[in-house]
Amino acid sequence: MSATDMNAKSGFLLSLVQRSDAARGYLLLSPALLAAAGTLVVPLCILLAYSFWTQNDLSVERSWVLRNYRDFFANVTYLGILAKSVAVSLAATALVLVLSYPVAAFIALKGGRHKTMLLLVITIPFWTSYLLRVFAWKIILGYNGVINSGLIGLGIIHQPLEILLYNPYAVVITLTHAWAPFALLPIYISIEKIDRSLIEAARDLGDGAWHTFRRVVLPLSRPGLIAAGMLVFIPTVGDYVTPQLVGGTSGLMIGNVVQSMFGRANNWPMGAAISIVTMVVVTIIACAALWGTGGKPGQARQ
Amino acid sequence: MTTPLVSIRNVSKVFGSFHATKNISFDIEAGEFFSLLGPSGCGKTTLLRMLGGFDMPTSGEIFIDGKPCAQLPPNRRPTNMVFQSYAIFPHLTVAENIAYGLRTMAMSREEKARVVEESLAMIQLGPLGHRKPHELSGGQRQRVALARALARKPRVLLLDEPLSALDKQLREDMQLELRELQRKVGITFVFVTHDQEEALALSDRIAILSKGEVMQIDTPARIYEQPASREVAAFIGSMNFFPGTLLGFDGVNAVVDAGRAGQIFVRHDPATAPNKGDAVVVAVRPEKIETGTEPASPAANRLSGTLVAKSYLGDRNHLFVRVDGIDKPVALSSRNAGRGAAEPESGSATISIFWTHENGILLPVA
Amino acid sequence: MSRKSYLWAGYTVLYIAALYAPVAFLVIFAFNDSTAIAFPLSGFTTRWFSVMANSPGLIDALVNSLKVSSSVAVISTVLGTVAAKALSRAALPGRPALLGMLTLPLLIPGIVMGIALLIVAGAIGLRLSLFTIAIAHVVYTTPFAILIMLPRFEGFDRNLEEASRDLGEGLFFTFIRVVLPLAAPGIVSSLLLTFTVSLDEFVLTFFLAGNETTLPLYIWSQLRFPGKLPGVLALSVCILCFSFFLVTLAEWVRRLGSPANPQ
Repeated sequence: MSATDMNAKSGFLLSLVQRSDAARGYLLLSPALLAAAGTLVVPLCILLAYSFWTQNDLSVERSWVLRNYRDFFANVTYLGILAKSVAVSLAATALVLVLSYPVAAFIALKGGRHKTMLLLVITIPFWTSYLLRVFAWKIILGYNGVINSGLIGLGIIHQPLEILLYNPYAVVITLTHAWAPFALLPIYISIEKIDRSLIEAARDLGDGAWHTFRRVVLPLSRPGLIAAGMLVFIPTVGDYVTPQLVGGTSGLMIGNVVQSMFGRANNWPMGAAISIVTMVVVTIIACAALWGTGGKPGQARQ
Repeated sequence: MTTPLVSIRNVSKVFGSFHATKNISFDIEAGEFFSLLGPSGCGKTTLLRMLGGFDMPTSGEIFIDGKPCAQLPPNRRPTNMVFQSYAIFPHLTVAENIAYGLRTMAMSREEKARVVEESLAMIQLGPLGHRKPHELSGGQRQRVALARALARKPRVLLLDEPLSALDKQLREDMQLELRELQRKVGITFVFVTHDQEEALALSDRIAILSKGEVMQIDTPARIYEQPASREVAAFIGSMNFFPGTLLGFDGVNAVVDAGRAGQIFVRHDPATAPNKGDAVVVAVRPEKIETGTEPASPAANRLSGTLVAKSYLGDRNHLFVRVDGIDKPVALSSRNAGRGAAEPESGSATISIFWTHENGILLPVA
Repeated sequence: MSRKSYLWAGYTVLYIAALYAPVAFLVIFAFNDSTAIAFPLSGFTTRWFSVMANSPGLIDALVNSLKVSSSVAVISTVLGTVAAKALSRAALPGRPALLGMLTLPLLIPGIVMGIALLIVAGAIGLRLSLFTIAIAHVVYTTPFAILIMLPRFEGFDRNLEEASRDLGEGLFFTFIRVVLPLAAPGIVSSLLLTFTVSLDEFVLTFFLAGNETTLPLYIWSQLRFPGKLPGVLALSVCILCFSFFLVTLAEWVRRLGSPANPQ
């Protein structure tokens, strides 16, 4: 390619960038897109590839087999743990949504001038270390922890309660606490967007507060609820920190299994396969939830 | 013959499947106050943006000062724009805003400071140079936008509905100021507006656009008195329309058969008239129609009808007369010269309305 | 229905209290003069802070964390700002898909991200180190940067850039003289927040760490020693205060950007 050809080509590109908004946009995006491709798309594809390979003691054999998947689905314990993880996440998600919704609604509808401050107050704990927030529950629920020593000190019980910690319920409680602020924001945003005059119209037409809520506010805030649900459910299924700190053996979740595959058990392909299965299950549930809640017609009537 | 300053040749702009402008051609002379007038979506803003370099025509060429400019970016054209939103830089002071465009011009610092000072004086914001935009009123910001654009002494100043955000009184004051400013600096102004009164008041010439095409380019007077089409006639001011068929010519007047309303005479040049038997419409301005017992001139059309409504507008009255054979009530407009002038009351009273033959406009239909 | 409103407000207060309570306990026991994390309280002390400060490995972990997090903050803010600018054009073809893809890391479970990156690192022979941690963090924090900068750019009057070009500037100077100054508060916000997120991040760090530790890993390693717990609590309090401070600062700076920009 001669110099003049190069000049012509770069001249063309330069004028294209000068003239076309879309070309400029893509040029600006290219670093982030490249980074995303390299650090997200490629690794996930390789992860997928790994799930079809097998671990032979010290090395990885790169023949394409379904053995990992077969082994996983044949293993009742693993399946049980996966089911439990999904159940724990769903429980935590449900709790988060139910507990956070009234607060989000309060701030959106009655917050007035203090809205931003209230939101800030609620989201600040979220910005501190996740590890620390989980650890805090460990010291609350522990054998010698805050609740037990407090109750003993008050004379309500004489022996520490052992049922508080190291079980799936502790995991659910901890997850609920840790993720609550994160879920509150999408719900708040969707309630905030509701046209006030719709609510006033409902009241004008005779609905009491509860009916107004059920027929106007709740349906219109559905997108926020769905978004919040996704934002909590999807990441928590794979969580291993919380189960490890407060779950004990009965609270073990699929994340711990995966982690052990990359740790002591040293079976990376198996770990990859389990992660893929988990992601697929989560995606299926998420899609089912979207489809299930999106199908119903809106119930806001004026 | 001097070359026009701006020549627009066959400019078309297509967005996807939407034709914003269709094959537009016209010239703008140096020193003109030229307006682009039309309803929303007519393509006037698109055309202005193409003049400024913010959009490129899909086809056609634009010549400024004889040079083809259609593919040039804004910073390489001898034009400057005053945006509808003013687009004042919020993080810079008034003086810094005005001086913004001077960085790329070959001037010493003293010269630049002088330009800024003169600009501030010209827009009467002398002591406010250090203020930030959010401390100014809408009208003041508008003037800053103006001064900023003029600081670079462009050949053409483009103004995109600059007064639309101002309230009525301020707008009228600013209209006067703009006109005087343009006369003083002598720069060609291309002014986009949807407000026809504004266009009529300010412009040397107006281009009326509709759906991407130019309907008529003329001086304000000719556009008002001699609209070229029914669309233009309806767009500018209020207009009465009397539809009918062209019967022929009686001397200098065309004779139109307006059905039950009778025959209407309209002064028109036979050479440019539609064919006999064609559907036509006679357009008459409300202020050209009088009411009373006898018309002032014998060469007048006369219709009778009933007064159905009357509006008092302070400086004038609007009367609405239903005439048999005409769909919409005929609108008359009369000035309130005296205090409480006697006007017929509405009701079933029959009144006569007149207008002279030369006050009608013969327009083809479609 | 004022009584109902009070109940409602009361519930909100209860909710906030429940949010802060566990964290409050961390703080309480950091100042408690006892190695047992239990009631009754034994008295006020600050000795755990000095114990913590003198722990071996802590200073190294702290320095490493600061190194990683500050570079991550800068890189992800740059990437995020540029991406947000491009995405702020509503007319960009494929915009929803692009936005989805670029914010995907927020939705992928940390463990999946971690192992995927670990596998890639192994595949290309990249040794695990602070560098690999930093890369993983950039992947995770860039979406935050994008989500912070996007509203700022979307509220940006497009005419401002056009005005700048109309007044003689090319694309580069328009960016320097107009876009950057107006985006500055958002950029500072983004720097502070991505720094905080990176500082506290644990899961990705766990998988991609080599021999050098960072603060969250250090804490994790200390958790199995009951005697060291109060020291860990003291450290937690310090981190809490620091994060709190950074986030408040970020919000304050963000507010600064608002009144001068009528957006």
